[in-house]
Amino acid sequence: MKTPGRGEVSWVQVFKCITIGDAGVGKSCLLLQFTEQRFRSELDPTIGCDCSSRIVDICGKPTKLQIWDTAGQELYSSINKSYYRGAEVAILVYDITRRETFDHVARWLKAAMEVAPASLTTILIGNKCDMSDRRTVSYEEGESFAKTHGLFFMESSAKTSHNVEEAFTMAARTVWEKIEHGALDPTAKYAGLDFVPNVSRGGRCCS
Amino acid sequence: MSSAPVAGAAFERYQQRGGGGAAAANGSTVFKSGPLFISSKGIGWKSWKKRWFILTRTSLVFFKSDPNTLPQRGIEVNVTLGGIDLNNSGSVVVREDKKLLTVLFPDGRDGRAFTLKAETSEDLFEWKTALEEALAQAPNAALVMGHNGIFRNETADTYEGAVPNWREKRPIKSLVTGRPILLALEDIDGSPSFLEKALRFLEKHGIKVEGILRQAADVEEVDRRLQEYEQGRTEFSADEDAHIVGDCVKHVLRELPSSPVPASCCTALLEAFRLEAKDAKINAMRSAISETFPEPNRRLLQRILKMMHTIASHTSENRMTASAVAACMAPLLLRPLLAGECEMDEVFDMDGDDSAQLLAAANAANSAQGIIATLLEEYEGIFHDEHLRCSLSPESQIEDSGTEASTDDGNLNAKGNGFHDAENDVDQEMDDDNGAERILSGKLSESSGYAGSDLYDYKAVNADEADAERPVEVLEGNVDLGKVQNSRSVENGSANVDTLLSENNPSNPASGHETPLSMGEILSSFDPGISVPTQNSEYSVERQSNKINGSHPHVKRSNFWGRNNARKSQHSESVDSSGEEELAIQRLEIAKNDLQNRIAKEARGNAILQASLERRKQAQKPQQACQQRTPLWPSMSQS
Repeated sequence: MKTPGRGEVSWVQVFKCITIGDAGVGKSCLLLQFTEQRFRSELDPTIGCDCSSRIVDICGKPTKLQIWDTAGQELYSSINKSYYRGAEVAILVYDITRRETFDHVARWLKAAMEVAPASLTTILIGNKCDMSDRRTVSYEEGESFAKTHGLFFMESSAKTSHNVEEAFTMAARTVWEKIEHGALDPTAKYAGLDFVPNVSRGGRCCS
Repeated sequence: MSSAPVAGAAFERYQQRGGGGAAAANGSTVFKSGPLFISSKGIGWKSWKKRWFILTRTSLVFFKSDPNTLPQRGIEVNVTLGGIDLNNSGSVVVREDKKLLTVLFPDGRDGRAFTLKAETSEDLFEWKTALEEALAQAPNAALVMGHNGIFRNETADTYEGAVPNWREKRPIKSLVTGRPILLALEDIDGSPSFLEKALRFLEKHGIKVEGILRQAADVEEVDRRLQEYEQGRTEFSADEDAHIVGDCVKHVLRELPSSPVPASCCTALLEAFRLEAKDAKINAMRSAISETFPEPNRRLLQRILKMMHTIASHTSENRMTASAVAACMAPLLLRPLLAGECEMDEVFDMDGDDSAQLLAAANAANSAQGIIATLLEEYEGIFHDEHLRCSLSPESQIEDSGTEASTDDGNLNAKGNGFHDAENDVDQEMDDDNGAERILSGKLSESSGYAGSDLYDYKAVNADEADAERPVEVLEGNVDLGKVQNSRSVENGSANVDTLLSENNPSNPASGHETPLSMGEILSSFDPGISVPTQNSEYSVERQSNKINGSHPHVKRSNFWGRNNARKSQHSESVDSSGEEELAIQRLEIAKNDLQNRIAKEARGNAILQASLERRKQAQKPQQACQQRTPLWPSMSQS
């Protein structure tokens, strides 16, 4: 488990990924589903920030997604902005059963844009689509918001694992494409891999 | 460091001398110069930056590096980065273990403090000596600043004064936000505040709402609800969205001008929380709360925890466990901890290492959640028998004897304790469930005594916007309440509510404090926890006044009424100073009249309780009750 040094091409490329969105939309659950393939309906609110990672294979390239799971509580927002820096991917989550979480998406996006690099790949996720009977945000609304702001869009369910894997791999693939097109320099000073060299051991690092 | 005032003048003088040779001119003698560390703070972390400091008679300024070592050519001047003007009211406090040096100024206008760290202990004391020498020769405080000689309460809390961003945010005389801690739960007239009503709403209607306190409501709707309250929609109806009300509570807590739990109390809680053994931890946390908390802060914290406790006890319905509720509220309650203002064991000496700072922030957030979760889980143990233990603690005995000195009865001390026991028995019966709290929020909210002090405090803040004064006045308010509480405790056995009422009902507005206080005494005597923390806060005031300026002789060793009078005269001074305060006085008068009516009603209700209290006490300590009664009544009627 090595962290690639600056300018050195490693066999594992680390992408820094952050999950953002209102409290209780299921950010931690999505992450848990992605990294450990399980679902818990009673997760405590994230305090400050949590982090875990998983290595996925993107077109033959092993890619480590190091995901920083930020707290949705507004109280922690001042801390969490520091985590945004150097992120390649932002997973912006809302809850399709709670309208206000969708209404706040624009604010989250703005906060991420202020801190994260311009090359940030953002995926908008409407979570809890297993509960579409209680839906208050339509698929079309989510899609059109994503289109206007240049985001990718998916509806997912951390419970049924619908689209969870897809969302993260799509994010990783997009970052690879950006690197190949030269839109993103993985060795740049604030690239995620450079930012957190000492915590990329794969386990949880800040709790 | 937000309070670093102009240092330009000092720097110019310094420049004129050619950078530190044999100086002569008045004010520019360099007492000492050399490197010190200055703190730079962020969320949950603190790092120390090395800077070059130069101390003269009039100022302490700092530079990136020693100006003498740099060529001084025109533009490339090594500009001063900041500094502080000195006056002779300042004092130096040293923390040897951490090599910390705090320069603080007691002036009420900005209550500046400046904490620096020395490289070595020798250096620390050299700086201390130099600073004391410089301060002794510094310009007279009275000439430099206003007349206000009010001291600050605690060093740690000066940080709060030094981060004055709340003032800009606070709308003028908002009914909801930006109120001082004392007014957090009750309005001036003693009726429940916005916060208290919202808390009650949550306890009633929020407990069944899934994700209450966790899920955010729409920001605009929260704002709208707050505005509506200001415009007169002052009650919450059952059909309101609990998430909005929950966010209102969070909003109000966030906008409090100072943290619900002050920095020093956060530190105490944190230290307690770090103990390994569970019992020791709980005990330490309990004493942190009873011994370091100013009374209004303790009440506010307890009230919020009570609401959280209620919510967490309905986990099956709202899916909020104690730790989940704690995670949602901890940053609001333990603000200084999250802001890195508590003395953490690990001080990060490195410059701007992001990951270390983030880890520190995460640590702080986790500790905060842990502390609040523990307080919630042990809520009953920590808050329920707090008074039992504390009434027998050495501090309370000392304070009791201090108060009782005014009664000229040397034997009261031991009896006081005996009495406390009796009182506790009664209290326990009363708060079998959460009775004490119920009384706190219900009955006590009618207390004009409380309202009286509140108003005083509130008015003082509004009148001259003296933020820095505020904590002290809050404390003074406490002191009086605490004193009343004490004398109340002593005479409780024989109290006749109606007599007290009629004896202490002056119609003169200028002396309006006595009535409220004696009413507060009657009503607050039902809150078992009150007396101890106030004694402690009083204790810290006294200590501080000794240490810092000692200019409050009668604060230290006068009896209750003497103290009250002292405060009253201070009060009258400020009354003369502006018309706005007269308005406030009128409001107070109206409120007082209204209250007197209500109090009379209240008193009748209380008389029943009083009677049972008395019966119990007399049954247990008949003799003491009688003896205590005698010395106290004359002093009551003198006033």
